[in-house]
Amino acid sequence: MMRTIEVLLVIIIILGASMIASFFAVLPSPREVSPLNLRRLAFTTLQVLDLNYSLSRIVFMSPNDPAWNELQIALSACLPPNIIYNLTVYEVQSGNATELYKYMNISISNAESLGIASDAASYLVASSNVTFHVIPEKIGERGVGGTLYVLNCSDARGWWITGYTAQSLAQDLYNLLSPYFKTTVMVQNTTDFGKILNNNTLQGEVVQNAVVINTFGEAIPIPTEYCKQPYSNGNYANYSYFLGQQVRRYNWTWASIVGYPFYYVSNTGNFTGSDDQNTYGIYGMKQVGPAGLNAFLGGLDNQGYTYNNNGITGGPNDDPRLASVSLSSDAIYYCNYYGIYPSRYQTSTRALPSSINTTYHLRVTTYVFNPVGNWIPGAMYRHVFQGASNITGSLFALGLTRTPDIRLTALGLLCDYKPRLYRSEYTAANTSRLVVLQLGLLGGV
Amino acid sequence: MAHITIEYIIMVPVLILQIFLFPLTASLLMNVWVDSRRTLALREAASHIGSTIQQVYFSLNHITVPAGTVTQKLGVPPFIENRPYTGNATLKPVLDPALNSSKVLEITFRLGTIGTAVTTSVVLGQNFEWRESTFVSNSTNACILAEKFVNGTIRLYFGG
Amino acid sequence: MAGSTIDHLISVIVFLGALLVFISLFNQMIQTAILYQRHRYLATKCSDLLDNILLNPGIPADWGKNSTRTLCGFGLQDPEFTQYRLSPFSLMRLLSSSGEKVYYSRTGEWYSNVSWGIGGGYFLLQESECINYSLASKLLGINGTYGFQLAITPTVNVSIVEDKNVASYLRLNITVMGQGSPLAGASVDYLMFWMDSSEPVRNSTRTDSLGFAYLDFNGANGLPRIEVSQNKTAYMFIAKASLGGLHGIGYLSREIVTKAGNIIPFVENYGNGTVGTVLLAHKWGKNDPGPGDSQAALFFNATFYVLPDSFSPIKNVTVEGHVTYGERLDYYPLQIPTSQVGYLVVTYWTGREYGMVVMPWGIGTIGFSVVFGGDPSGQEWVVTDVRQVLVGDIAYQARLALWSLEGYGVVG
Repeated sequence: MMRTIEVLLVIIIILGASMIASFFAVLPSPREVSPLNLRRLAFTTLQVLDLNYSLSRIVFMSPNDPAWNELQIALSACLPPNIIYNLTVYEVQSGNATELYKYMNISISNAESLGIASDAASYLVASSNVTFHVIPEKIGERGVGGTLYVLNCSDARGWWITGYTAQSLAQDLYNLLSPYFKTTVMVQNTTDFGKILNNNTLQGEVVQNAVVINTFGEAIPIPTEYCKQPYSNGNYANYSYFLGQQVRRYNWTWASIVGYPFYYVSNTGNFTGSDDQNTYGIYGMKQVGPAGLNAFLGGLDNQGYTYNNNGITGGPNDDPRLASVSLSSDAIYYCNYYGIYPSRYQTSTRALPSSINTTYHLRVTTYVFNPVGNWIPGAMYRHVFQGASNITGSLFALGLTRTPDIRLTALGLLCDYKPRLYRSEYTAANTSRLVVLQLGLLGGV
Repeated sequence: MAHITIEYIIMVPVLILQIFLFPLTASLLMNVWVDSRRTLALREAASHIGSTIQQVYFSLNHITVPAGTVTQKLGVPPFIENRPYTGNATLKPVLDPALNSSKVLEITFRLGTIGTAVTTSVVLGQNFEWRESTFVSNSTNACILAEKFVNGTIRLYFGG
Repeated sequence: MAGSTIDHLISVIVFLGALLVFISLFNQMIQTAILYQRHRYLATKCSDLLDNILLNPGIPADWGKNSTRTLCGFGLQDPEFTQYRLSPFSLMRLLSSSGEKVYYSRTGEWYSNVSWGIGGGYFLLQESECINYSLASKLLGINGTYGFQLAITPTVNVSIVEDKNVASYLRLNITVMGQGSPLAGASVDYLMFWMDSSEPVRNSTRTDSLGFAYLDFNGANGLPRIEVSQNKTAYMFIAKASLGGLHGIGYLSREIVTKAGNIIPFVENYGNGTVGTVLLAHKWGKNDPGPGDSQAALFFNATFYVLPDSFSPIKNVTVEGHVTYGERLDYYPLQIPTSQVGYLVVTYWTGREYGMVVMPWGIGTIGFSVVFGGDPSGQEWVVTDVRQVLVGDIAYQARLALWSLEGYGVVG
């Protein structure tokens, strides 16, 4: 009998131990075991509210602005009713501030306390007033040159710039390229052009090592003083030869934006006869023909002047692939860097042959378009005498068909000179705020 | 006193048996719990690493992401019950025709010297490559390294 | 003496029995702890899986637009964006589990049922063009181990009903509700596609403190007079509510069954991202016309509107025709452009009875919900996780319910 009683006592003791153990073995509530990912929910809620930068805009408004009410209504509407929230805004401090985030006394909440089982997400917003500054390096800042001449001669006419005027092209080029040069000068007439050809400054700029952009397409302005012998020899091919010499002498970069370079000369003050037209009805102009380019290259290479009117450019008739030429990979890369986006595909009807590199001691430093066989649709040609190492004059030629896209001119020049862009810091003072959304769960198990 | 003899013949062996059985039973029960806990912790780490591999792959697979290298630190504990764990992965052939041209990466994790092992599978795209590597949880530089090449191939491997 | 022996034996047996009982009690406690650990792991898995689904566009990235491409990786992210923005096209291709599949006898095919006439809106996509639950599970690597149900529902519910208390003209009551409260003071832009107007009427209003607004189409305040009694006219109304960055959209289309039946659009072929085929099916309510039904022709005008970023639809394709049971013209195949989101508005009539239905191209265009996956009811433990997402610029919530398919038995 005693044994049975002892066993009963043992059972009571073990039962007691089991009950005491079960008090301590408290299992968590289902909500703690399988919680909602409140942090992700908070983050995605802030992202949704910032669609079209609505949250960014409201956060920078005064605390009394009714937009804060709208934000609270939107926040209440997009969260389930059992979720309590607290949205707080902090100012992001910069400079020598002791704390990075300063509480702004702006808070939206639907509960006094979120309890201990809450989670939060933060979201950085920038004021819409922030201007993202980009400071370009100036060409010539660390070396020579730095002058950009844009031919804007009011007394000259252009050809193959159909749909534009030289003046409108000049203005666009000025807007695109002037931030990258120390000095940009609009050459307003052929007289001023004559001055710089004679190494005279117009606005105190440096004439040497300048970039000269001819906005007149296949025509070039000719100052009055050169509308005579010997420059008029060969239908003004000798003037082109003289230009080539000056480009070499001053180490200019001459930019031809479209078509056959140096094909016409133009001066509306001097070419006033009934025959002074380009045979297509544009007056104030004389046709030079292919001899112009040949003479220019001869002058650039300091060869003796000879009249050679044989055409050297090529088009789709010479190679069908010239009907659609594509931007080179370098050019595509710099499109993104400088933010200039011309069409990737163009038609080249005046591509230059690669043989001119040998004939005139030229080196291609930048291909704007991929070469097609022996044809170069668009490139920067630098003249270097044999045995020398320094550059003595350059030609930038885009042998594309009309109508010119001056973005290609700007892109090509920038691809070759590669001025750096210095981007300003993002977190300027009083322009960034941190929004913290804290979420908690209410009720349930 | 036959009944006393019978009693002792029955009782003594039973009592002696209890001395061994009860500790064994208690140990067995606790082992089940400990094993399950370890396996679950290891499976959670494995699942998280598999998910991270998948997310890194899909992030790099986006058309706007250029070629380059990415290092992804893993938010997994270095020890499970004071034991480090290691992982290996192999690209398995796709047997299920429904998976078409996907690739399946089978990752196996082992816990210390205990032998607990879990496997997780991650389905990835055709341009995925895996380099043989071992994940060591208690390495200070344990991470996932990802390389995207110009031809679009994405190679991942354990680092550290 | 025999008594003490019996006493010993009984006490030992009772003791052993009691021990066994207590051991099983402790075992039960341990099992529960292990189960809770599994459940915690399930919650982590659910969160990871939801991010995997929402943060990758799938492979190939354009599988949502192009049903000729074979799906190799499952993801719903819009390939043109990052973060939690979902593709309206990929969502369309999910085989819906919210409604029973619809069988169309004339083609002999089954169609995924995203909306089967709710508010006059339809989206029925041929089952072979859909991604089913089994394939998605395999591609996610959880086949046989986990079951899931993914629900993508609008965060803001814009509900539009005709006010039956006003008989002489059309009054529409608009209620804008969020998850937890009404959207008070929300601006509501709306489009009224009315069969008597070649272009949709566009205007805006604002909800009151209860999220309520109403519109009287009585000829005043720039709104046309619309009388819908005796089905003498038809309309399709879309309203977009906006407040503080949150956008919601709702619609109402006046669908009726005329004396010659009605039209229901079925998406027969999803296409390769340029053109798809929609069948404008001749129906009698939800049924196919039969011998006892009228053999009169049912005329229709179907216009597909493309929706650019602004809330201004652009008319793209307009087709007129008729269907009739008598001539065995059971459906009219219509080609629609599929590269951009928009909606197809079909006006149908016979005699002087008019009806209208709408079919969106792109989930989110008129605020449809999508439910995809298995059925969580009856499962032992289901975890859920939620994310706020965007479909176009409409706020949605993505909710994933996950459960384990493996047994929970614990050895021991």
